[in-house]
Amino acid sequence: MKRFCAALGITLSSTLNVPSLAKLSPEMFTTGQSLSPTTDIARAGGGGGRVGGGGGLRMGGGGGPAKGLSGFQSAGGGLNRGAAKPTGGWSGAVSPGASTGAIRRPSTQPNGNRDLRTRDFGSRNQGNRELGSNDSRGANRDVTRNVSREVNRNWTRTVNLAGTNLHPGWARPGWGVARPWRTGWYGGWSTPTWGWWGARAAAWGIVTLATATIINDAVDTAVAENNSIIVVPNTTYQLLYGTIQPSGTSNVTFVVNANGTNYELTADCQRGLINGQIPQNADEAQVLNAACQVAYGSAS
Amino acid sequence: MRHLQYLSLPAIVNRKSLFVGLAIAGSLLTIPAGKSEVLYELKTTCTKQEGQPQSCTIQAINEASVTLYRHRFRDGIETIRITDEPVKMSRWDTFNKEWVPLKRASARFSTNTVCFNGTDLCAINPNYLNSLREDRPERTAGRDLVNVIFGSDGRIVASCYDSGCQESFQ
Repeated sequence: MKRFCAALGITLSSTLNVPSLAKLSPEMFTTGQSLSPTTDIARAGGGGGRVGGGGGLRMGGGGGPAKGLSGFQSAGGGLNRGAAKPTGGWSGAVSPGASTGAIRRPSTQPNGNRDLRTRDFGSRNQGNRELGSNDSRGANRDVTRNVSREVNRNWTRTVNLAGTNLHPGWARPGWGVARPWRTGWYGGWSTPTWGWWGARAAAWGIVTLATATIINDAVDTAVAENNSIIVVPNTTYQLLYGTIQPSGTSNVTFVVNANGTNYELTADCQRGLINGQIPQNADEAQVLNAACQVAYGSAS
Repeated sequence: MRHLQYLSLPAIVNRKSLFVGLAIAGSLLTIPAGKSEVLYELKTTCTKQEGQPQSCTIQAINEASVTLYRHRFRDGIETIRITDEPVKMSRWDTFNKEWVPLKRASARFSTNTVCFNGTDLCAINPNYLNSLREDRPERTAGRDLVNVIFGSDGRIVASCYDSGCQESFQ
């Protein structure tokens, strides 16, 4: 009953003139309209549980669980204390350049009209993959290749991701700034600076690896679609970007899906090694580069 | 615990009562302090009163029932206190030495920005948003903008997400 009353309060409160955050600051957000001051502030606190708007119906019509749901289970304020430590840990610093840009940058998705389709990455392992070819961002995204290779024998650690959080707190819109570790030092070159690169790249017949823009855009798209994978450009490998965890200052562990199997890998982004080895082919180099870019590359 | 500075000792008329008074005062000093834990210190960027972005350090301090966010600027400190169950937010008024309930608060995931009382105080705090994102994954997945309005009793009376902030509350 208390929750119902709270929800009723929400409805009544809709008569309030409450502009969006997007309207609070033209510099920070997209549109501008100032808030009218509210004067009825008092300190008396009421009891009760979390109430407020948001939420809405969780279940569609028909059936439903044996235990009845009112439809307001997820109603709540939307904000909290923010005191629960996220799996990625706490960040100690936000780089000044990134943060200045971020505080002025309007939202990339101001309307919130996202397609929240969830996808089963396990069933998308084979064959041709076009990476965001209908994307309107203008980047060269035609990175499809029909390549089927055996997985490196050095990739021995398979993992079962059941119960694994593939969407850690940082893996969301704004992920470039949200990564709670030191970033921005990886990449920025036209060709990798790894000592082994030149000769191997020539042998593989490639001149460079996927750019930061392509990789970042792939993550942006995946985040917007609530998808836990990106296809590593020019390969059939799938990087589960939410599994990326830095180790030390330049290493990273992550999970890649290859031929339906999830492999936990490590990469040394400074030396350009994957599982302690120089990549055996161009695809592995792309995997290495994608993981390092998401972990340590520049992204806003 | 700044408010402890304003505790007054009971009237003391002799040495015995002085001793008792000090003992009581001592116990009062220890009880409300509880267990404080610095969650993190974040060097980041903030704005005050829609001014230019400036460097600031956010110190998040967890206490029994509240979390304090101390925003340290070159020219002062702005502290926000957030409680759960129910969610309430207030700002420490350094002039009047009291907590003043906030009127509203908002967060935008894509910019890692959290704002209090409109744009009176804004900060880039990915830690707060990462925590929120993981604490309430279903509620925040796919969301960008979150806006909450506090009522006269300090509790949330309305909140909205994304386009709902433009459509439902106007």
